[in-house]
Amino acid sequence: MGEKASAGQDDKFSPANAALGRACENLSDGELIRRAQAYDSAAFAEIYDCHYEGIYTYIYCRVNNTHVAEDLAAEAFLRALEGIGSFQFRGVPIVAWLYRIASNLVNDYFRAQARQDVVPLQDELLPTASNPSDIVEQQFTYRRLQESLRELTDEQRQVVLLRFVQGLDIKEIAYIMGKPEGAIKSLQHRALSTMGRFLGKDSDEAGL
Amino acid sequence: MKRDFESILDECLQQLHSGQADLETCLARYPEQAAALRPLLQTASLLRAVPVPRPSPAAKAAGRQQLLLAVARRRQAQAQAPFAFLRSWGQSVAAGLSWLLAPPKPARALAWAVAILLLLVVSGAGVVGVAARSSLDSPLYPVRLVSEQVQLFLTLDAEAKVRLQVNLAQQHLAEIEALRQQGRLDSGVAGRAEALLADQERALQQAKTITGVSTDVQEEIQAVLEAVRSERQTVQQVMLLTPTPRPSLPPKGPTATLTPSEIAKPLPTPKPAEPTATLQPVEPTATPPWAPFGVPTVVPRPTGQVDVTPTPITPTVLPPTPPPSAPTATPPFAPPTVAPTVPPTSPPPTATPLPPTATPVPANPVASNLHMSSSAGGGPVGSFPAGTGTVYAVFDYSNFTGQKIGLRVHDPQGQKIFDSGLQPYQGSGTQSFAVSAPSGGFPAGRYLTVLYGGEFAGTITSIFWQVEAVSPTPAPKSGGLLVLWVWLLCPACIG
Repeated sequence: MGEKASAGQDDKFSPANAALGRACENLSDGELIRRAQAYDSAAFAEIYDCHYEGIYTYIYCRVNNTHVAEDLAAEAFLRALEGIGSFQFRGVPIVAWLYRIASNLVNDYFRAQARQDVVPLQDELLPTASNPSDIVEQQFTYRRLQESLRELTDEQRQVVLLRFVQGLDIKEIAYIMGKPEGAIKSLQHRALSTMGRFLGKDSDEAGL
Repeated sequence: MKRDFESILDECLQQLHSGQADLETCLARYPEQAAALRPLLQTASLLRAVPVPRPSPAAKAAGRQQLLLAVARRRQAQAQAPFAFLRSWGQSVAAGLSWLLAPPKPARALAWAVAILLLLVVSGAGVVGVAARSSLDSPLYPVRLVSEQVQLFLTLDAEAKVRLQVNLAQQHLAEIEALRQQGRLDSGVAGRAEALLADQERALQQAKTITGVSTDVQEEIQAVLEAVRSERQTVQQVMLLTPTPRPSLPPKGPTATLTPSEIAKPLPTPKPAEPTATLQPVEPTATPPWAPFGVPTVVPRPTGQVDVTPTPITPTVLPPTPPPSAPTATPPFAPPTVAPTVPPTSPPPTATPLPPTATPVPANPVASNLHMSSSAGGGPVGSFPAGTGTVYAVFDYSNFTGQKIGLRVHDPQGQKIFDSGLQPYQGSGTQSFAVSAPSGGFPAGRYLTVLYGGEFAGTITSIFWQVEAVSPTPAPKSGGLLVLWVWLLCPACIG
């Protein structure tokens, strides 16, 4: 278990398409939830190990603050513990439930902060790679992503993060955001269009 | 029409993501929408390739520990549910006594008589008396807690009430410590102990606020309060280190063939001179050996102060060889050749059971005094000079019976540069790991050493340490060399 706990931590960055939300597909959600509802520590350890990084990344991409993201991610799992007793497994994957908790926590955070859900650029928060050229590449790519995300509405941004960073499907995102699947598809379409226009313009300006 | 396009887009995205099709294949399937689909799919591909930040190992470990502790508390609360009626009964008794102690009324005289009679009957039955001597793992323990509440309630003098509270807390502390040393703190009892200590801590904090109490009593409250907090931290660590009981799991093979006496005896090991065999047992420490829960000890402090336990280690308890991974006397790690030594005609284990007192009960495992050092037996060092090539991570362990712990080191960027892996420990002693820099010494910065272990490899404790930056080369030297070269080439140019 120790190796499992530290696995995947050697790199500060991983490609988004690693599908963070799909870290442990081999687990049977129904069985896992039954064990978790009996407060089985091993079940919660599995849930945490499988989904912590995805939840953290999702929160970080929305709040763009390492410490806040760490606090909220830890809080999300404590909320899951509080709510596991009343959770009913009806085909909703546990990952979607966890993201819904995380999403609500971020919304509460922004409400408490009484400010808009914007994604500010904070270079000092960008993790560093070992190779200097990698650092530059990472910063450049991440900056472009952040800037294009700024062009989106909060709902569009959530769909982008959940769909393309976390690797969730439309049905799960619909559950997390409490919207019909058709609405999520529309949000996805509009978000990609807006980002595509922005990134294309950015490339033209940079002469790429 | 618009909805159709969105469905097609999502279908293509899904196929691209799952690897079922590439971009051109998707576009070929929908030639009418290809022009509109292409930029959207390209943007999506770009998004998927963008690196995303990963959480720091320290934060992940801290969150994990926090969660598992909360789970343990929940499990304990659930296990205590059958005793809930006793708590409510205690509260009812307290409420009834409040009513009885209110200004006298004629009806209360009769109520008083009934209450005293009831108390005498209960006392006469001996339930309370027996419960008063019950320990934490006894079913009568909740009765004892109720009787203590009643006792506290009936003590009207403020100072006497505080003294009683302090005495009760000391009694509970001593009992929990004894249970821990006897190895009787399994996950259930440890959870109960943690809840009890939390109650005691709250009660003592409340007692501190009572005015009119003498200074010596106040000092005693503070001392007991600190002891309660220390013991609570230790018990919390025991809760994490102690595996959850899983009765449904079948017993492991070789151990099922051993009699209790054989289990108690050390089994022969392949290496006769095992390091743990020469170690002196470490007395249980009175100070808290674990980092406090809820305190983010793994988060870098803004002041840059290095958190190193100042307790020096005793060089004589250092093992002569580094890895203590070889198992010794615990049955799960016994060599397979042990089982055949039991004669086939010997009775099954249940036929010749030894009395419980004959089996030595191990105390709970404790790992403590994690520090960095410049040598294998050296004292704590918080800051290493620039160019240091090897440092040593040192910690003490005691009362281990095969529990696994590991140690890892992270560099200033959070990268893991050393991991011992989980290794089983036996007995007591001091472990030292040499951590070497890849080349040219450790880069300057703040490093993190994490001691992890337990059933779920949670963080036990962690420390930060520093490698100093290289001081800049003094300029006069190169300047002097330059002058020398100029003078050699052109003596007339100088002076």
